[in-house]
Amino acid sequence: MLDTGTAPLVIVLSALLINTRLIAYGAGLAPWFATLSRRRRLLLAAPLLDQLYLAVAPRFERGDLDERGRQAYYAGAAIVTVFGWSAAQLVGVFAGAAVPDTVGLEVAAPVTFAGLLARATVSRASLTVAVAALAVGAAAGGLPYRSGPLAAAAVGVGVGCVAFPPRRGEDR
Amino acid sequence: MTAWIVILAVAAGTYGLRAVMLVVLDGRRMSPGVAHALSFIGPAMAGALVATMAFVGDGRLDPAPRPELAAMLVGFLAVHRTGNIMFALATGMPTLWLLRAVGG
Repeated sequence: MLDTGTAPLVIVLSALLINTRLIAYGAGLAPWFATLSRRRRLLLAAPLLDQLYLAVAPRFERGDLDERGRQAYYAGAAIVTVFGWSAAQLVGVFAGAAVPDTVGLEVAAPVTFAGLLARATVSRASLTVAVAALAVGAAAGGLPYRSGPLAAAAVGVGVGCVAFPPRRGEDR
Repeated sequence: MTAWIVILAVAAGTYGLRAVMLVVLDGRRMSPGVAHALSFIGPAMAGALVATMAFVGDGRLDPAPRPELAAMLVGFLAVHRTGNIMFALATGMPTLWLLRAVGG
């Protein structure tokens, strides 16, 4: 984009707009680490990616880990995700060109995300939320700054809140 | 030099986006309603991201080719049945290869 003469500030703002969905992940994690110090919460934020959140959230939703257990699980998942991702990128840079097109490596990420979607939809409520977000996400692909996914997720959360209101005494 | 400044600004800004709610919500007692809504972020974001990968191209509704959609569906069903994320690739990719081979 710099080569095409786009102003650096525009590039930075565009990238940040695309990444606004990360705000939602931070909000989603916060209740799971209620007693953690602010400094440690800042550490939690460093490796936070789509894949990491979607890997840990369904595990936390089971409700069988205390906060210490969640910290250990998050740390383990973060190490695997960050190092695995970095290693895979290195392999891709140096060996990617040698992989034949017939392997369809470009489809591996969507297939993996389909699997992460399956792990996130373990109840009727979560399935309803996902279907709503999926439908809106497909229709909202034309929104500027790739804001479609964030808008779709907001609609999905809204549908979940209306269709499946919190039960009395429910607490995370 | 400008490129590095842009990269550092995006990295710092992205970290800020990740951290802001973790800091803002620090130590506050959350109402059950808000906590309940936040529990839907996972399935909502997963659905939204999969929709973008499967049905959006060049900023408009443009579904992926049928073998790719079938691979995603098979991967989804395999993980839904087993709970093991590895089954997404183990079943989805062979489905892709098979359908591409037969021209599906």
